[in-house]
Amino acid sequence: MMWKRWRRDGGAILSGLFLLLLVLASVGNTFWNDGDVSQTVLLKGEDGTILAPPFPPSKEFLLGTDEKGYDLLGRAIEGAKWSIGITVLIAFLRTFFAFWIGMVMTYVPRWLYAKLEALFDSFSILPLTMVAFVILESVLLISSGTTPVPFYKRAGFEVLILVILVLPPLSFYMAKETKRIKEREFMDAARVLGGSERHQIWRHIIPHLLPVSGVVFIQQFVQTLIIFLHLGVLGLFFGGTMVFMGPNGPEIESISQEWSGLIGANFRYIVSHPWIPLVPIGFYTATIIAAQTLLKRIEGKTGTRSPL
Amino acid sequence: MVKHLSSKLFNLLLSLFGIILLGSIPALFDKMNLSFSGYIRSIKGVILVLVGLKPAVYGGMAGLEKPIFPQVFVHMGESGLILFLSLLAALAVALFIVFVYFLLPGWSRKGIAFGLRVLDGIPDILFMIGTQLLVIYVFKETGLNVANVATVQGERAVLLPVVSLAIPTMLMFLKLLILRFGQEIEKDYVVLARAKGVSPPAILNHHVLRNVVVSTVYYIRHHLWFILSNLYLVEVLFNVPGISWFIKDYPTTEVFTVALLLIYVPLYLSFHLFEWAVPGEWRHGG
Repeated sequence: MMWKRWRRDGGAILSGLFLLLLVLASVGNTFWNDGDVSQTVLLKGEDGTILAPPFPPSKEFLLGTDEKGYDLLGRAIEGAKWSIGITVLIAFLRTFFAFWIGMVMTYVPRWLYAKLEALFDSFSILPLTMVAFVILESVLLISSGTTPVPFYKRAGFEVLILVILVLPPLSFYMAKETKRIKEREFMDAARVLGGSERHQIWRHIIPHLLPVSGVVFIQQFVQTLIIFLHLGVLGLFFGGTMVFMGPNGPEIESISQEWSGLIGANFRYIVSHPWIPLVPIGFYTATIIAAQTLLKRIEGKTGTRSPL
Repeated sequence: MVKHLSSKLFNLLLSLFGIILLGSIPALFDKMNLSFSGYIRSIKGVILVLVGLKPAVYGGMAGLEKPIFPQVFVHMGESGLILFLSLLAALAVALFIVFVYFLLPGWSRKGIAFGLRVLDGIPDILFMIGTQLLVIYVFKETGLNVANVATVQGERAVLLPVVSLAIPTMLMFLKLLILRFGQEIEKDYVVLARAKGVSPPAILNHHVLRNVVVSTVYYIRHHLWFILSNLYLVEVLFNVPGISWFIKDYPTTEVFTVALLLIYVPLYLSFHLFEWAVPGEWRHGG
């Protein structure tokens, strides 16, 4: 009995624990360690030679160090709260707005609905990474020559774009789900018994829509992680700082140790010191797998299948 | 029929307008400030270009502009080639694996399903980097250049971009095919065929495959944005002179919008042709 349950839920429990520990360790590092990451500038080898960073993964540095000698495990943990936090925020905003827009859409007359669907059709086909990259890049390129815009503004802008670009297809999905609930028999019963529109929404539609939203939320979480990963590889830090990678290009460090910035700043080492970019990519991978395991479990419990 | 067609046409025009609105968004934010006049100016410019009243040019410096039009098709062809080849390869490999999967005994299926779940969590970017690193590693160890890692002056890299785009696409197809095959072999006609003594490979090949494959191909519509995102990354990572290259080097809203339109319109047309030519029962897998 116990074993069976563990087999069913074990993966989900482990995944949840992993995400929780990662965020807690990250927050803890800021509180008790001032957000410091240990740095090793020089290392004495066994035969007395002096070694310079980057050091490959070893017993001393579990995941190796970057070219400045910062411990990569430390950097990745320090960055976890930013990467996961901002992703949670984006996924939440997407789900929240899609939820209400989708609800409103079910009251839109059918001809208008069809036209709106046509107008936003391209949003569900065009490559999101490319569109997001061009929009973010071109906007931030303009400001790069002048005094830099404050960080919170750039970050807010990126969040806004990443939310808006996904809203149309997601809202249509939520509208479809809402419509499906409205067509159920108990909704007829509620109408016949004289339930007002407000009563129908709060007592019947929303309770049935919440599990769907939960699934959508985790899915958007995974999707946002993937987009950040893509943007990081393309050299776009969170907050929108552009980096031109090249031997003589300017070097910009990721201020918040945030993962996509770690990838963007170090991607040029992929061939010479592959572990440097692979550590943040690995953390993305682990987070994605954990979230997907959770998603599978929730889907199994609520019986909803994921969209898209 | 005429009414149906004209409504389709109107919808297409609406979609194109949606893309123009999307493509001009970079002009909406001028130094992080909202600039509606810039946005409208950009939209006007794009429309003028599309109608043919304004020459469609790219290239930053004044006087050195080159016309967009014949040139962009070369880049488009390159992107299209990689997309098409990898979709084809992905579908072929996925079909092969799904056949093997359903002919294997139950216990080994569980193992494969587990492996698939793990592979599914791996971001596609790792496959792209992985293939690159693998080829470099093989070259370092053996001196054998298996494939070009990137396109450099005349030396085209086709194999690696196709392979690294095909792997995640193949996984997607495979996941879907296993689900659909699983549903299909529960159906009565399969039970009947089995009772009559038709061999399992023949059932899969003659009945299940034909009922499932069209709807699977049609289903990629929902994943296209993701496949195309991967295509964009593949083009950047392998330095493929595809449509991404064009956008990357000449980032005006006009070039961006034209590129978006050129990605969207062929896909739109092929999907609608598909819908028109293929009966609904096939598309939705009856």
